[in-house]
Amino acid sequence: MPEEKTLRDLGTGELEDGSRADFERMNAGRLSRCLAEMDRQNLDVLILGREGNARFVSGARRLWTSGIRPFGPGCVVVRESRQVHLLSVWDDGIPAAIPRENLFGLSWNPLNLMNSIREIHGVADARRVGVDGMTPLFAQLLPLAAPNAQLVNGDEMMRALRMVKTADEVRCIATAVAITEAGLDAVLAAIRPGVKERALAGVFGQRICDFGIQIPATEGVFCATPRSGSAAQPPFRQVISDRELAEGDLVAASSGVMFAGFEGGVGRTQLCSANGRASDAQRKVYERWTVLRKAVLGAIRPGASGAEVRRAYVATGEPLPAFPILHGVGLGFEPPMIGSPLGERFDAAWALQAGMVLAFQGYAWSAGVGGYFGKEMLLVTEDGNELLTRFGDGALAR
Amino acid sequence: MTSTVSPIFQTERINLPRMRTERFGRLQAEMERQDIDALLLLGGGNVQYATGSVTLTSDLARAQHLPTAAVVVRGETSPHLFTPYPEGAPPELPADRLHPNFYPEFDEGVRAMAATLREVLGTAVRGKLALDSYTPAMFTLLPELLGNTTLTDASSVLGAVKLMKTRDEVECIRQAQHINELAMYDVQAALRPGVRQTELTGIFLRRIFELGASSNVVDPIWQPVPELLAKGPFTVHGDLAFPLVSSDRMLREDDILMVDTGITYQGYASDFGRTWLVGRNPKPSVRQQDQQKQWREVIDRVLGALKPGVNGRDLTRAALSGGPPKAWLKHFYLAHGIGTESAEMPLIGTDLGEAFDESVVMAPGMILVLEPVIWEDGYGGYRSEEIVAVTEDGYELLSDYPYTPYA
Repeated sequence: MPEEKTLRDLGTGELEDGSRADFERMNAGRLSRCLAEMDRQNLDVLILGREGNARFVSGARRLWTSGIRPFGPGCVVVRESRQVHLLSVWDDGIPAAIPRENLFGLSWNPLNLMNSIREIHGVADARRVGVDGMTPLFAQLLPLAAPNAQLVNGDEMMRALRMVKTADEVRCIATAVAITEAGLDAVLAAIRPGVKERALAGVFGQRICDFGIQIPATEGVFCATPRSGSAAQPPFRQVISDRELAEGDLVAASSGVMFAGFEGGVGRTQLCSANGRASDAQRKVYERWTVLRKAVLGAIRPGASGAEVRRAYVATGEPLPAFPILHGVGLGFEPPMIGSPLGERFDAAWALQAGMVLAFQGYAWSAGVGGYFGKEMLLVTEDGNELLTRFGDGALAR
Repeated sequence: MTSTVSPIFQTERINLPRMRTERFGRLQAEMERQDIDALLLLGGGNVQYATGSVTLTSDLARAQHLPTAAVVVRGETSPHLFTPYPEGAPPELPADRLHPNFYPEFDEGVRAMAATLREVLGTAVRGKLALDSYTPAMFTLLPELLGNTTLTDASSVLGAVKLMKTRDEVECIRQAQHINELAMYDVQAALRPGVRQTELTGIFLRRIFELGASSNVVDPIWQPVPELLAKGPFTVHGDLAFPLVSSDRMLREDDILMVDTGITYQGYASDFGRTWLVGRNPKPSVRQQDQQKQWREVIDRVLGALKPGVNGRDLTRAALSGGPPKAWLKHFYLAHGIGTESAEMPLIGTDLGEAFDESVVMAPGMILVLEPVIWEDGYGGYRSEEIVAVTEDGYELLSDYPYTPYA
């Protein structure tokens, strides 16, 4: 469990006394837990195409690109040899614990790629191979590398491994949250009539780069909340446009960053005004959001089910929004995912555990006014939860 | 800091509804040709192509849990769009084609997806459904849930239609490249000793959004390259390590900086590449200037050969004839296509081999990103990129950025 000093003294540089995150320890621990689970499940090989999964087992820092890449064997874990093998032409960004001979190069020819995979000791004889995705092409090609293997869902195992965070991981996430808050602060300060929504994405992007990182976790929401629509399904815009902010807009600002592969995210809503004060109606939607936050945070503790959290949200009288009200966060967006149209029974199957890191998203909206969107990140602790976000609620709170 | 170069926005050349109609028509025609009854698309670029909808894919994990997906049924006049972001749907999409998103990461979500597919496919459910990608839950469950459907590969359909671009698509790529280039003026002006790579990214991100980019799609690269390969990172093939991930590394006076960035505009990608020198008033050495000249000669030989009917092997031969023994990176290519993805077919000069290069025949509407690399071990090298569209009788240049500080 996180020590007292875990959430103080966050930063992105190295300190000689080791009071920041210990990446070597984190990487070794993650791989060891993965191999132990492979032992338990009798899984000979894991072939991972998802960057979050590759990051988890290797700690490797590889190029980020937007877009869901079709499944490809970017990372291979072999139970027998206890080794991680990576698709990487160079060793830059690859932790020292992974030897050079475990790297295989980029190939545009799927047959050459399959040769590289087949040459990895332990793959050709594997009987059970876990994969975290598939394409029609690889469904045909993988048997060339592992002819006797049954392909099973390896992502379920990875999800379970990633769900509970160690102290080092929480420090990384908290660091990402702190950087996000810096970016959000710059965005809120830039909100005034005439500014384009899209320009706010640039403000956020530039500010986070002051911290030695350069990848926003998402495109971000920098959108005026709509003033007309149906209260039953409160309207909310999540796609940034060239729209100019107008006097009286309630502007939702929500984004995140990646630090060491971990995501942090925070969201707030700001009144856009040249010099006006918030009206009572505008303050009211903010207050309704605080009721939502209190209700949901009050329901989050070890042993609680996702259904209890969902019920706590709707018990406030607010309708469920068009996005999950609670989801896991780690090496990106993770399960559990609560409050979706998959329903209360789906939510009930998720039990919260100490050590999970979650994002709460709530939205209160009123016709003619707009809405207050807010997002917080929190850690589930032994007796409840602790906010990782440390950011005021904005001018609407005063 | 604002650029002194004025944007030349020729967006009146782009007719988005026409682009969407023409793309959808091509998809339908190719489905007929390949006897495919329906497509289920999850890849961001493919969904963009089929529907014209905004797809948010910066956060890969979120994009998998809350995906934008498209279903195209043979013979129909509109695609079906399944999206968490209805406001990103094109205005002409009929209301009954706009659906809430699937949840294909979960078994329950895949069961719901299969039920919806049965409704939407109609009689096509007994035919061939082509997919571009499977989540683990889809891979496990879909074949049994859609027992009467033949599941096949969508990449042959999408690959065929994306190879040649319509006029509007070419203009979107030109516009994306223009926005990318304009932002680079401001970045290049910041190359003083001690500037950090992430600082350059900060300037870049601020500027691209001011200029109207839809998104940034590649980890921006501002890589100082050593003069000797042995001084750089280990590589599995002994060639240059490029592109390396940026950090808060400080850049130093006279660093040879190989730069690579990419954004999107209306779903179409740009690809910017130049070699710069760090310093307040940098001057290439005689040798460095000669490297740039050799690079320019490769480009000129390739462009001299480029017209409809020539093949990829003709282009690689032209690149090398009378010039250096090697003119591009071993792990990459002489050239790649670009469209709704940053790198698409055709790929020329890869380990797919020379026979493959020969099978790629240039046709009007193909887009090529040419990226030769000249390397003289012990003395560094030069790399830049140019984008061209193949036309009826040759090519037209879509990129336009100076080679400063090289002549």
